[in-house]
Amino acid sequence: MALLEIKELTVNYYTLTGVVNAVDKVSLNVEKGEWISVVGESGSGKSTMAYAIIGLVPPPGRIAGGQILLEGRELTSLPPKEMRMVRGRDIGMVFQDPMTSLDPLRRIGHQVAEVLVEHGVAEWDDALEKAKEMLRRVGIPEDRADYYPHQLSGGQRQRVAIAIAMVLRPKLLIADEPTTALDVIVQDTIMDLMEEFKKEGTSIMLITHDLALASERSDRIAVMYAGRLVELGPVDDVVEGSAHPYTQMLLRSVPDLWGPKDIKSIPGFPPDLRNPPSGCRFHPRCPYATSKCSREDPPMVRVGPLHYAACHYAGKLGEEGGG
Amino acid sequence: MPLLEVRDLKKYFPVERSLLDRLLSRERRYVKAVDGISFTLDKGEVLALIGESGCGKTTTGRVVLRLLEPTAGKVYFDGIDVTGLSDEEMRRLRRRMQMIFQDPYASLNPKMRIGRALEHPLLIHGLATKKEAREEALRLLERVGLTPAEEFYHRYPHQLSGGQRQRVAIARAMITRPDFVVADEPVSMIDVSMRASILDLLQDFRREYGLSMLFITHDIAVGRVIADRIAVMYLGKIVEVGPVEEVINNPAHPYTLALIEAVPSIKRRRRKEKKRIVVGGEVPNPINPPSGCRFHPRCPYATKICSQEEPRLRRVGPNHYVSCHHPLKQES
Repeated sequence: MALLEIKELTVNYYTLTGVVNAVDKVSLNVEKGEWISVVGESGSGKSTMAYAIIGLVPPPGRIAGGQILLEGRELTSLPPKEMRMVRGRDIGMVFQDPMTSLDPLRRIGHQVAEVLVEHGVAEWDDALEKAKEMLRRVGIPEDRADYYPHQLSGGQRQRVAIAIAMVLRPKLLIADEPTTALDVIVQDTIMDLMEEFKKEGTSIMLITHDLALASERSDRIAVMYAGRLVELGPVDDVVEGSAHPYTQMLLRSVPDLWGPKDIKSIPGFPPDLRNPPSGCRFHPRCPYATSKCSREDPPMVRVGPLHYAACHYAGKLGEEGGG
Repeated sequence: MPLLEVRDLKKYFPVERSLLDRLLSRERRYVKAVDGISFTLDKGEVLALIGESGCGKTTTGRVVLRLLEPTAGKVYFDGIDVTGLSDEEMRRLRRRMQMIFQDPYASLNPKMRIGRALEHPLLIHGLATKKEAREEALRLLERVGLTPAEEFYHRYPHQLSGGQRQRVAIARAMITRPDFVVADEPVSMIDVSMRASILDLLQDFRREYGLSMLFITHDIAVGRVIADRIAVMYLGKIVEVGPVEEVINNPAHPYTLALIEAVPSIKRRRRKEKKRIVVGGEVPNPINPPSGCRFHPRCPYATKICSQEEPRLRRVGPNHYVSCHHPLKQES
């Protein structure tokens, strides 16, 4: 059984100017011990999906359909109190801005220890010792347990956020753009740290706009566009033999240090999700689009043993992928 | 003669003193944002200034255009000593030296229609009549792909997407036909799928106007797409400068190598490879930078001399210079 099963998840934001269909019938599994990266641009629904998993879709958003099962247990219908216990114990989460999860007025050691106390795992004295151990584990010297967040660099704060997310050893760590605000060398060390937790058995879900970052560490990549999952598969399949035109064009649009210099933008703009295009949501920007694409939603079709794409012409578009 | 020459440029920012510091008459301290850098830029050339946050790259761009006054050093533009010009003389020179900012949401006046924002530089420099300015604004809008131009001419910035605003910012910088532009992270706030078109646009203007550009970025892969040469900055100093492909393929400074190694790549996925260099820690405080070579506390190759003597820029290949006591590459 998969660790996490997302089935036909739909999340809408009910705004004054209309209903924004941010996530549309997305189905996705996270296997035990795997690193899966969800890649997409702003507005693709990748972050909203992550918030839905931990039961924290911000208002005016709401899960409008589908199921989220953690080891078979339905999360979307859990009462808030029980969901609070799932967060931290079963699922840990880190955000782009570590100050989202850090309290600026409290010492970092206390903040890590609090998670243990809140979940009834330890008493304060014991919890503080365990917190120091956890801080050391993420690369913060234990004499800094008395520091306040502002005394740390951005990279160190993100390490503390990871310590808070991981101190109860959850089965799944969801990281939403955890390194977007950090410099590349620091980013690399944060990724190393996440990889260490993966080696110890934690499943990782990395949410990122950076296809290259995803391609280096993941087992599988899920590509989202305009609220829908458009491609899913093992890293090599997705980046070297991408089957969806959006993935193919995205690959050609990003400058790669070791790739060709003549990069090409994807023409047009992502759609307004208050009024998404009919059929395939990528069809207005797709060079291969036919009338079928604007009429019918493309189903997720299998193009390789573990490789899927939501395109009417998946696997029939020739060897254009991967640049 | 190069179009732009920067000589031993410094920019220090005073650190606010606390009451206690003042009572004890403690010495004022400075953030040495830019601490003695020199480089040249030829006509039609693009130099990418690369570095992590706090390295001084943005300050360099601003001092070169004299949006900030330098603490010391000289900037020569087309033979003119820019640092010695009066405000009035500087204003006249601005027509030829322009800037494109990172945040297209902050760089356009929200109350000014796009058309007027574009005409503005032409009118204040007295380069065109109202009618000519309007025609030129429409031509530029067309040129940067904001069509129908008539429609965009009458719009306000809030009616445009980030990518469209950045096109307006580029059009505004180009409308006076400058010889030189500083582009400070012009694509870092643009969605990935649309970055290439902004870079293409800058390339087109470069070809058309023979434009020289100082392209400031934290992303070495973006710099590679547009630049002829790369200069790598660390804590207020240029540590390496050279032709793009040479610096990327044969970096001479350990810091450059560390930077390149950390950049994720689809083409060279290193999941199972061993890292070529491991550097510890993070960038130190620029108020009190390390002695000698500023990178020495993090450098795996550092020896005694590195903490004692500041390395001079030395040649390691054609047009390729490094400031390191133990460069990874020697002149062959």
